[in-house]
This record gives sequence, C-alpha cells and structure tokens, in this order.
Amino acid sequence: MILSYLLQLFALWLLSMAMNKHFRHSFKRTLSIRHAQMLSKFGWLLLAASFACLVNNELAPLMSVYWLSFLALNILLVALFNSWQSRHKIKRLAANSQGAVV
Amino acid sequence: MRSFTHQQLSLTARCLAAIVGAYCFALASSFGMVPILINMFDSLKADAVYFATLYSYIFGFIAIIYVFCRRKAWLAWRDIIIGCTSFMTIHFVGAIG
Amino acid sequence: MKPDFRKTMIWLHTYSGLLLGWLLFAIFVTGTLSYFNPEISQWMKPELGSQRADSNNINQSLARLNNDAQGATYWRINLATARNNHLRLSWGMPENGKSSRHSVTLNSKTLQPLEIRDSQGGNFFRSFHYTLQLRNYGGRYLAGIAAMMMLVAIFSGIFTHRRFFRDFFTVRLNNVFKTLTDLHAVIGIITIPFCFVLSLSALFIYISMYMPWSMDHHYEKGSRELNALVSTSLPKLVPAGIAAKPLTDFDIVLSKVKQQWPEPNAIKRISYQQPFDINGRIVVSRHKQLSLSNKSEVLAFSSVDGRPLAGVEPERNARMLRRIFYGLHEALFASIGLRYLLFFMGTASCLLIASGLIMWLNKRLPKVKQRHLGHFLVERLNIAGIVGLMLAIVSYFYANRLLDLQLAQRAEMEVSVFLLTWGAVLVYAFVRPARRAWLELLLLTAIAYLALPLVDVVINAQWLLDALQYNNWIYLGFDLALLITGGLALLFYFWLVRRTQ
Repeated sequence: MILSYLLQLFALWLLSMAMNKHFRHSFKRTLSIRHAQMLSKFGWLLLAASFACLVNNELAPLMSVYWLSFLALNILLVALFNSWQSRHKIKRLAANSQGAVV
Repeated sequence: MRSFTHQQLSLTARCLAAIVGAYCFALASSFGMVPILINMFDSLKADAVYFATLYSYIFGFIAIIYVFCRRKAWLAWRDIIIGCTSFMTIHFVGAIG
Repeated sequence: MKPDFRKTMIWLHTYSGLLLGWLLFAIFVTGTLSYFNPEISQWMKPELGSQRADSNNINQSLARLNNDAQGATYWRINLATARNNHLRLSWGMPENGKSSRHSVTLNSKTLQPLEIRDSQGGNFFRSFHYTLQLRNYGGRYLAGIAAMMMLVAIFSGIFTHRRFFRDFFTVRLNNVFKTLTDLHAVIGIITIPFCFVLSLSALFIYISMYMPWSMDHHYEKGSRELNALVSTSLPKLVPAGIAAKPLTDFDIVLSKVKQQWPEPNAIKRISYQQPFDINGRIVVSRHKQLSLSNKSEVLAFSSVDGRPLAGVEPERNARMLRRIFYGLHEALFASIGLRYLLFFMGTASCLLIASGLIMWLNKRLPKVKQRHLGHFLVERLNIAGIVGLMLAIVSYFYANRLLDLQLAQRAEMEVSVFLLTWGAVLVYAFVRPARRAWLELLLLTAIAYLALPLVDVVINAQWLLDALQYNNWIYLGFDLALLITGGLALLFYFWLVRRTQ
C-alpha cells in the first residue's frame, strides 16, 4: 500500500513535469516535445501501475477507495510543492535582477 | 429596458424548468424505465422498479444541465415536455403489454 | 443570457453554489465530524472510562444477563470497540403480550454498571447533517435539494475552472486573491470523486422520500414492500414453546466465528433471540471493516447448543448498488488511516465551499460603487455561516461539560445551546461592522477551542489522567484536535489582522 502511494506520488510529479512551465521552474531549462511526451507516457504508466498493485487482491472495491483518496492527497501535495518551488524561483530571480541593477 | 425584462423572464423560465421540469422528467423516467428494463434486460419487476428509481436522479441531473444549455427557454421547456411524454407513453404501453 | 455553454456553466456554478452555500457548508462540516462519531461520543461521555475491554467479557456479560434477565424474549450485547468504549447489555422481558426494554451500560473492564450522562454525543452531528434539526418539517427534503445542488455545482465547476485543468498543478502564491481562487480550484479537483459519491449516495439513501412515485404506483405498500422483495434476511424465528436453557459459554460459538471471520475483533454485536426457547437463535454481527456495503454480515447459531444455522442469502444487484452507496457514505469500512484521509477530504470540501462563498463577495465588492442588499446579506451570512458554525460546535461541547448532570432533558438542552449560539452569532454579525465581526468572532472561537481541554481538566482531572494512564488515544486525540482547531483559528486571526490593517 505504501509502495502504491509512493508510486502514485512519483507518477503525478512526472506528469506535472511533463508541462513546460513546471519543468522550467524545476530544472531551469525548456522541455523538448519528445521529452514531454516521454515524461507524460511514463507518468500515466506509473499511475496505472500504482492502481494495479493496490487493486490486485480480493478487496478490490475497498482498495479503489484507498487509491482515490491517495490521489486527492497527492495532487494537492504536488500542486503545493510545485507552486512553492516556482515562488522561490521568482524570488531568486527578483533578487538577482536587483543585484544586477545595483 | 425591454430586453432586460425579457432576459429576466427567460431566466425565470429556465429556473422553473430546472426545478419543476427536471423533477418531472426524473419522475417520468422512474416510470418509463420500468418496462424498458423488464423487456430489454430481463429484470425482475422488483429489480426494475428499484433500478429505475435509482437511475431517475441521473435523468433529472441531465435535465437540469440541459435546460441551461438550450438556446431558448421555451425550447428547453418543449424538450422537457417531449421527454416526459415519451417516458409516460412507454410506461402506459408497457403496462398494457 | 447568452447560449454560450461555458458562460452558462459559470453562471450556474456561481448561483447554485451561492444559493445553498451556507447550508452545504453546515451539512459538510457536521457530516465530516460524523466520520468520528463514536470518538466524539466517547469524549462526550467521559464516564465510559479509559480502561480497555477485556477479551473474555462476553462470557461475563452472558452470566450477568442469565442472572438478571431470566425468561427474556431477547438478550443483546453491544461490545465495546477500539473507537468507543461502550459496552451495553439490553434485554426484553415479556409483559402482558409485549416485551419491555431494559438496558445497562457496563465498564468494559470491570463490568460494573455505569451512570452515563444524558447526551446525544456525536450522533447529534450525524442527524443534524441530514435533518438540519427539522426532521418533521422537511429538513431531509432540504438536505436532498442541497445534495442535488452540490452535484450541479460540481459539474458546472469543472467548466468554470477550466483554466486549472490546462495548467495543472499551479497555485499562484504571489497574490492572496489568486491564491484563494487557485486553492478553490485545486481542492475542487481533488474532491470531485469524494463530493460526487457523497452527494449521490445522500440522494440514494432517502430515495423512498425523494422519488417514491414509481414504487407507490407499482406496489401497494410502496417502498416498504419493494424493499422486502429485494432484501434478504434471516428466516423468521418461530418459538416452539418448549423451554430450554441458553448457551452461556460463548467459546463454542466464538471458535466457529473465528473460522469464518479471521480478522481480530470481528464481532460487533451478539444477540440472542428467544434465548429460553428450544428454537432460540444467536445472531452474531460483524464489524464492517472489509466490505463497502452497509449490509451487516451476520452468522446464526442455535442458542441451545451453538450449532450453526442457515445464514443470509446474498442480495439482488439493485439492492446491492444502493447498499454500496450507503456504505460509501457512512464509511464504516474505513480503517484509521483511510478515515483520516476521508476526514481530510471532508475538511477540504468544507474549505472549498467556504472559499467559494468568500470569493463571490471579494470578486464583486471592489467593483461596485453602490452596495446593494445582496452584497450585505452574503457578507453577513458568510460570517454567521462560517465562524458562527465553528463557534456553535464548540458551544455544544461546552454545554456537554458545563450543564448540570441532573437536568431534565439534558440532551435536548445541549442541542438548544448549539442552536442558540448560532442564532446569537447571526444577530451579532448583522449589527457589527463586517471586519470587526470577523475578527472578534474568530478570536472568540480560537479562545473557546483552546480553553476547552483546560475546562475539561478543571471539571474532572481524573478523566484526563485515566486517559493518559490507559493510553486512551480517543480522548487525547479529541483534546488534541480541539487544540489544533483553536491554534489554526488563532493563526488565521493574526493573519487577518495583519492583512487588513
């Protein structure tokens, strides 16, 4: 269950990285279309894997409730993490440009 | 000024359609779905009535959204009435057959 | 109105949300609290004590019943659980053709009878969230309308906040208002499945009230007859009229139950039907830990020798569908971790509704020169609906501790305190300037939540000491939750003071 949770978190992070804006903020370079496609494909694959490894027993209905709850928490976490990161980036940029002016 | 009142009238008609019309549509579907479920899906009567009533919410929900998307308020009302009548027709035909 | 689909959806989202927003907020807050219904009840009835249940208290309970309730028509033992230390025995004595009910609550460790204060506990929140305390005046219809509105608001919200789907995972933190909008959207997205299931299942639960026409048409006795047709239950018990002694050594049955239900603490309730008849039956009910359905799983045994009897057939699909939605709504299956997750999603939904209401106002106020009645009403109802409810909830807990224990109709008084506080806040919100009312009420709420554990200790320190000694995390957790809520309210207060200076 913990494995599935972490897989899902990582998958969502990959999916968010497949978007140019977030990728730029995290890695300071633009994202080529090929890479973006790869990232998103891999992300969806991992998402499916996390669902599969949770549901793969006789308690499938119960486990899908778990999976959806995890999904809610993880999307929020990834969204907050990315926003926090991009805010730092903006602040740093602002500080740099001020330094340049002085 | 005239267009403003016309707009208000249209809005009121839509809201009424969403509340009264959608409920009537859901109600009609809870009747009309019974013969459909019995004849097409081989349900028992008890199951059919139960499912038809459960599904009626979905029809009601679709009706609410639909009412607000139709170009003219009276068209929305017309479609609701057509829907209700056809479900009730199915119900009566099913009851005879 | 323009026929453009997205504009229509935005309009629908705005006004379906606004119209019943406060009602939905109240329903979601009390409903979310109901996830911890047994825990809240445990805190509100501190006489139940912190000493944990013993595993062999079934036999002791049976001995007690055998002693006190000879010739009874039924015995019932509601076992204490990990969530609520409430061990209750009840029995019925035949009295001129009918059976009179008796019950006693025992300390689950020492099995001594307990005197429990008269309080509805967490059940009040549970019933409030669908009856709105208006059970006989159409409260449940109102809640049903609210649920339908919620469905409409969710659906139209998807189109309203389309931007958020396009650049997924972005919350703009540089501007307060944008942050609020984005948080509203992100919370909206993560709670789509949650809110959808909750609203739909709420409608399903009271289907025979909201949509009874078809059932009434097809069956003479309406939903009752239909339910009987699609449900399955144990065969009707016919007493043979031959006296017999009931089984008082439960271990014989227990070993058979263990084979079928291997999980620990599987048994929720044990009832003996006609224990002094040769046809008597023991019905053992299982905790709903592993199935989504709200159908309680039972095993039946003979009450004379404990041999297994015929069980319950599986139910028809139509009934199962509603049962599963019912079960999903109640979430009795949730283990502790999932329960917290669901609680988190419930809280998120409350934030979603509250932020939506606040956004409606903040979007319009700076733009209009002349405020009209609508703005004024929304502003004041926001205060009363959001902070007022938080204050009313804590006042209910205060009433539980401070009202005299001997008071007649004490449980009703507690509820009255809840409603009166809420009403008082409503009046207060209308007479004070909006900003001052927000700040003062927030401060009061924060202090009330933070002080409650202290008041509790002052009233009777023994409860807390016992909880510490016996590791009663339910009691401690409740105190902790109060402190956290109070702390958050206080933080919000200081943030608001700084912001609006």
